Amino acid sequence: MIDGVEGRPLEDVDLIERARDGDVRAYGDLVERYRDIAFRTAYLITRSAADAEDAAQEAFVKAYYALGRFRTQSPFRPWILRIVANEARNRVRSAKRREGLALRLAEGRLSGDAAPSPEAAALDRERAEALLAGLARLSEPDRQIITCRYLLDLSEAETADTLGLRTGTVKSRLSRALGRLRDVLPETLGPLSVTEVNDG
Amino acid sequence: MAERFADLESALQALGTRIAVPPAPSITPAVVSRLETERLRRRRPPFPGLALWSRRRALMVAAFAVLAVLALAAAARFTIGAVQIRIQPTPSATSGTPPSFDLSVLGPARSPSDAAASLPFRTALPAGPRPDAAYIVEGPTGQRSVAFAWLPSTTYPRIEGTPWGLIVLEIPGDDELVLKTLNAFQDMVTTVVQGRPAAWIPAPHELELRTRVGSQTFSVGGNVLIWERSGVTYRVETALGSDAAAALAASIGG
Repeated sequence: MIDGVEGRPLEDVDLIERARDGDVRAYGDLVERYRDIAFRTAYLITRSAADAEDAAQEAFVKAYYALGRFRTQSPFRPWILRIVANEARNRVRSAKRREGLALRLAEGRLSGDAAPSPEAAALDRERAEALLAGLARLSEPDRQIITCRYLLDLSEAETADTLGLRTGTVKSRLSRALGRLRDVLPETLGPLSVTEVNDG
Repeated sequence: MAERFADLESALQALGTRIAVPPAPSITPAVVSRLETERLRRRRPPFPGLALWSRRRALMVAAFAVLAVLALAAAARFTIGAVQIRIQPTPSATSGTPPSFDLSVLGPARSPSDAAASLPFRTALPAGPRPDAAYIVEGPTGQRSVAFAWLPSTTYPRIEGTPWGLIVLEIPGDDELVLKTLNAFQDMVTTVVQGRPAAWIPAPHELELRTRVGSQTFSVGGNVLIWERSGVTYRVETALGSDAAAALAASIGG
């Protein structure tokens, strides 16, 4: 990190202060810290690795020039994710054809995971595929709010920051989006509850 | 959220852990490079004749180029810190092509943090991914230098003839540890890194490493950028082009 290989990693706020003073390398450390979640966010919105990479890169460049407007007492993650999500949504809007782009399930165990979570293990492939297909049938706004809140596992407050909404709006829109998702899921799918399996 | 969606919410959270997401690409060097480039562009005065260089940089390069030519005329060699560069149009007396530069001749790989802790000078790394290994180089007079190495990745493509994607050699002092032999002066471009004269060598050449146990000659297939700052000579070897290498070099040491 910024203090060389011996140094203790700096806090976000220190890196941001240095970046504001023109220290591009400090900003590089900040980019390195958040590039994974930024790319994941952009990918889940654009469903394209190339678009996600472009969106994440563009977002970090824009964020650098916007650091003066960042409130240092606030967490950096939702702030950068909001910029990333905006860039990703711009690409979704500007792309003419996205029908061929779809999220898919990972084969086997996910890289970096020692073992699947009980919830993940409990959601069988058939139900997971059905959920993905259902998500693909939703409108972009519905899909994005569900993506942020559940697929990225952001809190309601982070979802609000990321999508530029008020927390109350997130609650109401999520409720409606979940209702619409429920409507497009096949009735033959059966219960989605994973807690019953965990209890067993 | 209403109880009626509790099962759906749990299922969606579980789904989030099962979606195939490609590994995040290493975008940090590209972001840093863009910001550095933009910073240089904003500093550039609007003189059409100096479209790519600030006046100060251009003058420095010109002066350095003149010195380099004079040095070549005199002895066909000149020095940047601990690296001596020699122009020798004919192949060296050694028979055949020397082996590729192999860091393992320096000894066992160490963790970068352990290596840095064992050195008497402060090391510096480029922005972006952390190095995967480090090798200590002990010079003829016992001074200790370090070579940091990164495995090939999308950020750092494999350097021809090596198992590495990036090698950064940091040499304190000015004892000549490295002798580079180029076929022609045209194989080298004079430039500026961190405000200091630098040499960009985008052509295959030979490298002689002078260590405590003797000299060894290697062939180098990567592009090399050399400069000296604050008593430390930096040698970056990469498969990247000149712009990306310059951005990477500019990020070393902040």
